Amino acid sequence: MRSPTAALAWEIWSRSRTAVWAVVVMTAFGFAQGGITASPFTELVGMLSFVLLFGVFNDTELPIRRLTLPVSSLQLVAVPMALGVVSIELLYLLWTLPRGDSTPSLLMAVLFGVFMLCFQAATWTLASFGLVRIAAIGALGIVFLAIGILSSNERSTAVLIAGAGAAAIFAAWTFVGRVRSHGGRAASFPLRAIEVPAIGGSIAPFESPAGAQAWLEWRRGGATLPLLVGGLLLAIAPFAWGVRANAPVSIRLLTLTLAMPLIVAIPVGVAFSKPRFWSDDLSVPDSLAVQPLDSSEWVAIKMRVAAKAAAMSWLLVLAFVALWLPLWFDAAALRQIWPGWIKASMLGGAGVFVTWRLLVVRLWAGLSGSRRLYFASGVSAVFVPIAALIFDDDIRELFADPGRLDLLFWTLSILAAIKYAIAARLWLSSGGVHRSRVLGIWLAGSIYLTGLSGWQYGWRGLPIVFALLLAPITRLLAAPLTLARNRHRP
Amino acid sequence: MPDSVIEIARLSRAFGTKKALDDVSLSVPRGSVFGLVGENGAGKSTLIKHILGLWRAQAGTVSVFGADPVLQPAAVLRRIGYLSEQPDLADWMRVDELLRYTSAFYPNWDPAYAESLRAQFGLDPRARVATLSKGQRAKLGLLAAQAHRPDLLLLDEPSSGLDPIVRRDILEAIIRAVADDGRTVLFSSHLLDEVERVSDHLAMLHQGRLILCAPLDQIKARHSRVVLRFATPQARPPAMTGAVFLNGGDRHWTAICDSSRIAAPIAFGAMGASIVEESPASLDEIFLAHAG
Repeated sequence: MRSPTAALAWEIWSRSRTAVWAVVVMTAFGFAQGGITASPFTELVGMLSFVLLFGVFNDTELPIRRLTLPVSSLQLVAVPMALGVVSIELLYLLWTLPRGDSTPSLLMAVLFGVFMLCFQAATWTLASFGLVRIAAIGALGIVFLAIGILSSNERSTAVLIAGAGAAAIFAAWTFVGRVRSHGGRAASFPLRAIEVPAIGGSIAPFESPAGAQAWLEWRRGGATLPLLVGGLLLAIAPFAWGVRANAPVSIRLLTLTLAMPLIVAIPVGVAFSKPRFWSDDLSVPDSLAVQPLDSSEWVAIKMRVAAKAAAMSWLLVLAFVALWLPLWFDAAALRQIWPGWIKASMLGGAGVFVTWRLLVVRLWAGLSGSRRLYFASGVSAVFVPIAALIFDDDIRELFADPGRLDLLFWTLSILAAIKYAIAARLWLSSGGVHRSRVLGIWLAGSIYLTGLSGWQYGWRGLPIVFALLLAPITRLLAAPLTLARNRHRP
Repeated sequence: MPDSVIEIARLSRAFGTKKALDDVSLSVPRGSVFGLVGENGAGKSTLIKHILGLWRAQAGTVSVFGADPVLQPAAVLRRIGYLSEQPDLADWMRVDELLRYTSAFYPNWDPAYAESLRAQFGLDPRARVATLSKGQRAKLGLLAAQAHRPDLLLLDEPSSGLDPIVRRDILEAIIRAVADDGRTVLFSSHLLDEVERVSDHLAMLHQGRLILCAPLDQIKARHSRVVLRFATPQARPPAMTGAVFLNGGDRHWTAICDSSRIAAPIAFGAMGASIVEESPASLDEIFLAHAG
């Protein structure tokens, strides 16, 4: 390896070789199957391969070591960016070429390439901003998606977008140059002064250890969900204004807005389940492990913070909708949806509970310190809902077939029975405060959801629905035990 | 109330095939300054993590203030102040936020004492932890570990890689802790002069085994450095029961002797060696002799 370019490229490859191989295998599979639209399954695999490729280039910060390499700042920036663009274009071509019925879209190719540039520029330049960086990348994704959907003139839009790509390269180059010449990000980057707003910023003492720990959990990860939801609402607002005269699109956008806390809570819940929100390390840091706090109390605090995050996110959404509907929502569309406001309000209540549920249900895996458990839990969290959407038709077929439905019912019943048996055992071994709180909240939420389901779809089979909704309580009861195992390593 | 703050009995821990702790038993008396020494990888940090309850004993038992730190972490940790070699502090917090956060966990937190330490250490309360130097981080960690006047102060290589001024602050903190009645300090260090200055008890770990554990005065009193002259040249180090370490060649050999094992002069006389010089062994020499 004689050239610095080859060495930089090798570093990217060696850092994420498993993911690269996974993308290669998935793409080969998709190509052999006939492209991304060949079946719902290839669609899912295609999406996964794109997500993984962005993961490969998710260089969360420029390590100091790399900044001291004897290469120009331009080269330091250009090599990963060029590799990223070439990889994403290749991936796009390989997934779309075998279709035959249409050619790959120029605009989509440019959008993918430029989004990769903007993504990398944002990961570097906003490295020290944590929440803001995630929100910025999320907002960028929405903007690119909207451009892809709404653009009418493909060629001129592609040229404009390419200009944005050049700006991203320039921004990253300038940033790296400044960091190198000034000797540090903190000193050189004026935006560093902007901070995530402190919640409870006064310096008065905390009332209790639980209060202090809740403050820490909120600052470290709990605030992410409301901040992301708030950022996305800001991104949605101009679109909502743009489509105000279009009733069907307005209703679709409203539905998306109302579903947003749930969608965002899925990945945030995966990160929130870890001992440290922003770290890949799943072990409990010594500074936290030596705090005189019981593991069950710690889990209870995380659950309380999750409840606050869910409630705040929904408050933001409701405040936004409360402004949007009377001020600039399409009048015809408003008349169309108004009769359903009672149902919508009831669903909003369920939304808060389900959002909280998505934030806490994986605590047992994230706090366990086991990478395999955490990875399996995270993958299922993100891809089960996507798979459910993609395999929508197959699921409907399943529900229409009494024979297969019976098999599913019995399988689920056995699994639920096993879970309840484990829950009973965990009940006996978990702390009193934790278990009574968890059971109370979980029970109330499950009854509410069951009632809602009965009201919407009829009361037949409701005990089964209730049993299935209640079953994940096993995982919540297990969380203090898995945390204790991680904290007091065997 | 037991006289020992920490009681460890037959503690063993292995990482794969490597034994990090091998049948270690020790007792840390209340009010003592207990120095823990050993080479890199000897098992010092592993032992301290067991005392904190961060590791569960694979074999043997650990008792701190009469309780198991794994089973009753909150009760035990409330009485401990802990500082590690690289204090794991939340970078995004300000100094005052970190102190406010930490204080909430300790009912005995003394705000006036914390403030006096902060002023003494020259820490800006509005400074972000991320912007502090290594020495300042160590001071902040020490402040957080000390301001609740813990019954047990656990310091894991606290002064490793720090400048002499910060090291002095850490030693003063140990002395301050001892000045408070009934407080106990356990600290591990590579710097034997530090250990010698402040410890009254010493434990020496070597490859996971406890090879020495006694009051420091006793250890120093029973070890001596003896220069020997043999009547005939010795081709290889002579086998002597009382000597834990031998160095030299031909007729002249230097031995570090442990008088608890044998009365050295009698043994040497029996082997045809005369004592040229005898002096107290330094802690460095004792350490090297045992870790050899």
